[in-house]
Amino acid sequence: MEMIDDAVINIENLVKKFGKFTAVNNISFKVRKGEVFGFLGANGAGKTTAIRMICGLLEPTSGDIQVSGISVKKSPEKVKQKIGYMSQKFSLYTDLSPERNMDFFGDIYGVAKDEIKKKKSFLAQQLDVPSLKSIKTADLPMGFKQRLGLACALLHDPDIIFLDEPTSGVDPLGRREFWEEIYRLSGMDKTIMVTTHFMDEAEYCDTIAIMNFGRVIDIASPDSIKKKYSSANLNDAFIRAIEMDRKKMEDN
Amino acid sequence: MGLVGIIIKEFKHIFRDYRTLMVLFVMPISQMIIFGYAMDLQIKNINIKITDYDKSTLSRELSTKIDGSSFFSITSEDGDLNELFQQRLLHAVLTIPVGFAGDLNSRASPEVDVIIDGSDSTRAVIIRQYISGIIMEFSSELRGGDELPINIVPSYAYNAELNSAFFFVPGLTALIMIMVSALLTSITIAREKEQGTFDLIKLSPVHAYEVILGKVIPYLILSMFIGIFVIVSGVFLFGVPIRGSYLTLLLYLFIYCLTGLSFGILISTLVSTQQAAMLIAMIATLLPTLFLSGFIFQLEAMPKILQIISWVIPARYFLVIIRGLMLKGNTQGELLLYTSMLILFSIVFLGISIRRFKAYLES
Ligand SMILES: Nc1ncnc2c1ncn2[C@@H]1O[C@H](COP(=O)(O)OP(=O)(O)OP(=O)(O)O)[C@@H](O)[C@H]1O
Ligand SMILES: [Mg+2]
Repeated sequence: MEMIDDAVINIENLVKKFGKFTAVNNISFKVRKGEVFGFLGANGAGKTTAIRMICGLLEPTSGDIQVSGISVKKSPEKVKQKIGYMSQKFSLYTDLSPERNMDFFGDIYGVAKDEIKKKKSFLAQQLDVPSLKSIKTADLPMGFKQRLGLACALLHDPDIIFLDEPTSGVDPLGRREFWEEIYRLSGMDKTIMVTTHFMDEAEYCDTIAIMNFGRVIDIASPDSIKKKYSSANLNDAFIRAIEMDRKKMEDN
Repeated sequence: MGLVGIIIKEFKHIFRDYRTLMVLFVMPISQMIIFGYAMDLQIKNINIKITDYDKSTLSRELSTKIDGSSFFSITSEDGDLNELFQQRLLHAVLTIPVGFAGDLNSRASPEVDVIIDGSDSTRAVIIRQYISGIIMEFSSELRGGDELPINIVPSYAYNAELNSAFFFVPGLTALIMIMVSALLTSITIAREKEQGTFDLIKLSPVHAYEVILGKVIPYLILSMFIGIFVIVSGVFLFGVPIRGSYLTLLLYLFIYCLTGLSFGILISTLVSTQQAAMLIAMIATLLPTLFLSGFIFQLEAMPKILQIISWVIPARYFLVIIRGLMLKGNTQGELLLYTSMLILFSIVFLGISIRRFKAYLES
């Protein structure tokens, strides 16, 4: 049994319709504090739509979202302070330097100057580059771009971090380093909600939710999922879960 | 924090993108040169027919004066007026009525009748302006410059030097500045929406007014530079004077730029792509300014409904201001009403924008 006060994200009957099309179809789940929560699903399953609603970037058609016990609908401003968000599409100022991007986002979040400076040198050290000043963000390799995006999302030290496909387009080594960073954050008791297409990455999650056509069809730890669909790996389990869901839908 | 950060970032964008910056300065100048050249061509070789019913010394003197100007050549083409206009053999007909000299001598106001080929309306306006200019010059020479007693619509009375640049430099300045400033702000915010950076701004605790001022202030400075550059080019390339105070001109240019930038911000609240922003900003500034500001077409001659619509065209007010300051030497006070209108527009545009952004950022 999950304890209520343990849940930092609490979603109930969340629905999003675009016109007649239902992108997110009545999903409910809880995310515990300090958990790495993975969102799995084929293209168009509704992962991005769900995350954007939880962050307060998109208004739900119906349903209830609580983040840290605060209703996103009632006090979006309070929720914003607690969350960091990295969108699926790379969205920093590519014409500016990485340093300038961090300065800017730090500034609009009201982060103190020396705090920003600390985070900049930390990132430079992590990426093993001498400076973040003299390069254009557009010219960075994808792996570095995503790390910069993460650093920008972390500037105001949020408790909950949303990462929408942070490793797509990143090489294997870069992916591993990114996940090491996710683990480091999780170790600092931060809650992380991440979407991915990579099953090896899904293995690293504490809990995964499989989405199909806007619905969450299963939600459990990677091990229980594998057991449930009697598969040796998560890839097979995922495919079986989707197939079973399709059959169930056809029967109805 | 917030506001200053946005301003600094915006300046970095501006200076990083030096190609756009160059276009912003080169475009107005090339427009002015092309416009100036095209107008110059149109103004030469105007075929005018003079029907002189008065046959007095004075009326003949007027004919000679028109013939002597470099713009007109007098023809004696006869026939159907419409056909002559269509074949471009004739562009205008001036009729001097019986009693012209008598009226003029007795200090009454005689009337002359002008029919102008209206098929090319730009040209028609210029022709009319030139005929008015010559007639006024004629009458003021006669009266020692104190009065202008001949009745013609004195719409371009201040352009007695017969310089076409006097007509298009103020108008083009009004057109270019509203277009450029509306484009600058609408595109920069639409770009942030496209890139997704606006989502990150939305998630941050910045206020709507900080976002808006953070965009307006840098571009206000940039558009002032562009505006000054445009006016200075008008003065040096085309010899247009600035008869009013420079300081007033700068101040009112500042307010006009603010109006345009605010309008651009308003547009950016309505669109989500740069392309849509560009399209709307262009159409919403270019067309009304060309047709309904009094730049090319005279407002007084328009149907009432168009005149009423013209009240909400900012360029209409700035045109009075800049013509007044460049050509007439108006004072700050004389133009206060028009400036107040521009300030009002800015407040309304910014007010609506802040409300819309607030709803957007704080949802
Ligand atoms: N603004 C919108 N208007 C209309 N339909 C939309 C909109 N945003 C998303 N959709 C649709 O909703 C569905 C879910 O989209 P979403 O981006 O949430 O999927 P996703 O699971 O993130 O997919 P991907 O793995 O490709 O990122 C898709 O079919 C998409 O076309
Ligand atoms: Mg997605």
